[in-house]
Amino acid sequence: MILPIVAYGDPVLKKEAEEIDQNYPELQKLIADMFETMYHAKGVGLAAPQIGKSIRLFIVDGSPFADEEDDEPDPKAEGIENFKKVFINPIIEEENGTKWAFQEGCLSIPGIRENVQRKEQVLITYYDENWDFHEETYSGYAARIIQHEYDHIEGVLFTDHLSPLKKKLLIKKLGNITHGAIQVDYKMSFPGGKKPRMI
Amino acid sequence: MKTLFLFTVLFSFFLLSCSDSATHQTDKENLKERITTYEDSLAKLQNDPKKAVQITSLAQIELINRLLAYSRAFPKDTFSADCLFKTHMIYEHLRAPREARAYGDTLLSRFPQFKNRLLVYESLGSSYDINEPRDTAMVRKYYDLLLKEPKVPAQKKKDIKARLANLDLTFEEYILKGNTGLIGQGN
Repeated sequence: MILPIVAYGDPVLKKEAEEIDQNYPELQKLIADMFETMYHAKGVGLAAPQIGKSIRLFIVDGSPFADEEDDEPDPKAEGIENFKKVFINPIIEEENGTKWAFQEGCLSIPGIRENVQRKEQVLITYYDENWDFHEETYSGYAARIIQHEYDHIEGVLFTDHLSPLKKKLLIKKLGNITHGAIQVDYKMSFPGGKKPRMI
Repeated sequence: MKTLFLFTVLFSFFLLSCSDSATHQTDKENLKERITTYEDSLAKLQNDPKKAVQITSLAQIELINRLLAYSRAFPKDTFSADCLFKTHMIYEHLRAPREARAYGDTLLSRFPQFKNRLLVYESLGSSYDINEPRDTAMVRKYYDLLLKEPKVPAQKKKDIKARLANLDLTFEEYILKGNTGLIGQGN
């Protein structure tokens, strides 16, 4: 089932999410719905707060970042074609390397893409959908997707990484998103109260 | 003999001061050159999206170091104003609000008539408004300065006044309240 994605301005996006346990109701269905929702919206990651659930869960599939056959190999894309995972109760244990800029977007903030600086590498611990524990290190685009989604469960949006002047200049666009005065090709819910407008 | 000695001392002093002045000028040009060369190399990377990822925070800190080396060596020079302006903007970009505010405030106290002061007022007003900890007195100070500027477009002045009238609300609360039609550039 495709779920509506909550838009910028919804308080759930600014809240630190709660851990869950194995008794969380219908977890497998929720994960399947989140994948369906993410693919429908053409995203590479989706965090539970983005579908209105303040729990520490996010899913990723970075395959759209994989190099095309003709492309010059991009070291940041290494291994990204198989980067499809579920992260439950994740903890970023370490972030290493120097920060690099990359233009990020977000399904909750459609139509806005801005450069965000993040560190190169993350060490993350998490449970997968079978409740197996993992400790893994990621770099490049995989690390970038994890950092972006992890921010969501911490109540942080990529716009919070922008300079205040940049954010101020985006205020009208952000206001339009909050109040549903935008056109999107996926289902959304808007805190400003308007009904979603799909194209 | 005495006259010759005095002449030698005075002549040496003259030569020394000439050499000092020349060194001073060379230092100035060298420091400027170090900045522009580095900026050019960053700009080249910036123009290529694949290479732009090489512009790390360390590269930007290096640029800040070069800018500050100049503004510390020649604090009254007008080029120092540009150096402080760029330092303020880079620190904002690096999400280091304390440093960004400090260098922005310093710039305006040293060079109140700085050519890009409108942008600095807006940037500092936003910084004190959006970054934590908020300081609404400083937001008012910089937005009031912006309102006094004749070159600021009427719509922007209207937006600023609307924001000033709601300074009790945070940036997010203000957006949620639905006043954003009255504020911002809406680029």
